[in-house]
Amino acid sequence: MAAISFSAIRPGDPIPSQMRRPTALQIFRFSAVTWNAHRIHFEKEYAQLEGYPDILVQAHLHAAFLAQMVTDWAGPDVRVVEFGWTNRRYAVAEVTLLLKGKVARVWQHAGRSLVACDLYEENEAGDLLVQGSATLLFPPS
Amino acid sequence: MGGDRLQHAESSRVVARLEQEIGQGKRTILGEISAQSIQRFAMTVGETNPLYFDVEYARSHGYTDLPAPVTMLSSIVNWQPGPLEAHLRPDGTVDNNDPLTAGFRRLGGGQRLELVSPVVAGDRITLVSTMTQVYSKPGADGDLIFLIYENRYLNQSDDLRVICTQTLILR
Repeated sequence: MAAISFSAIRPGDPIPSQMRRPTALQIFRFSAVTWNAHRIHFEKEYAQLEGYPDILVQAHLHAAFLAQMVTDWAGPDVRVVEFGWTNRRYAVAEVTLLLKGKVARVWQHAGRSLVACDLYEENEAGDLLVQGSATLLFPPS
Repeated sequence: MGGDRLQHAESSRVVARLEQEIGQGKRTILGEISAQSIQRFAMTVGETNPLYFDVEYARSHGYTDLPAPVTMLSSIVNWQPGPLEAHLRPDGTVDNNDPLTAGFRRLGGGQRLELVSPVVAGDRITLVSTMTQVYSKPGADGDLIFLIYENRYLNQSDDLRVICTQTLILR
């Protein structure tokens, strides 16, 4: 995982996109580690009762995917100082999720080197599932 | 409430009651973030970043121990051991026994995290949760009530680690 240098970053630069396909097992384990017993994440019949075709990917699992994309790109010496997201549309198990992002702003303030990014998650049909943002603090060069 | 449209008169009444909760911080000891919990969370979400698995690697990059992944703290739905299964709602969620919001469907409206300082393995976390805003808006199918919370996560020295601003939607 190669780290990127602050001096090389420009607004508009894309963040290398990633793909995820959360399985029922992953969704189950995520509920387990977050101590979440909501049946909508492990019981298909219950999810269908609620009007969904299958078990839902947790909102925070979507967020974890986007955070990974950003930290994989930025490298281990960069700190995420802000991270936000809004879920726009649900995703069910075994659906391909496309993670994308781009640099929105690059600036220095009070001796800190900062990069703001816009983050997106879409399905293969191009529907926006999650909209997010992150601000990264780069180490002094 | 439930499957019915939330009429404006009812939502105004609920908002007025909820407004009395604004600004009242509730302090809860959440517990220790263990190396195992960090690694299990990282493993589960598909992380391969050695920061979360290799203490020496983490220390070589400025952390005092394994750091918690960015979204981990606010991902944990329930920090308590329980409740008993018999005390869960039929859908498996925890009933927070809040009479003000009982009967409403709760939707997550998004989160914004301010990561002030890294949380690392061994930190013991306290949460101070404060409702900061409540309002209603007309939706496509009745009124929606928006609750904004500021959740401050502190470590064992009461140092601020994370601020999570969370929006909950009731309908």
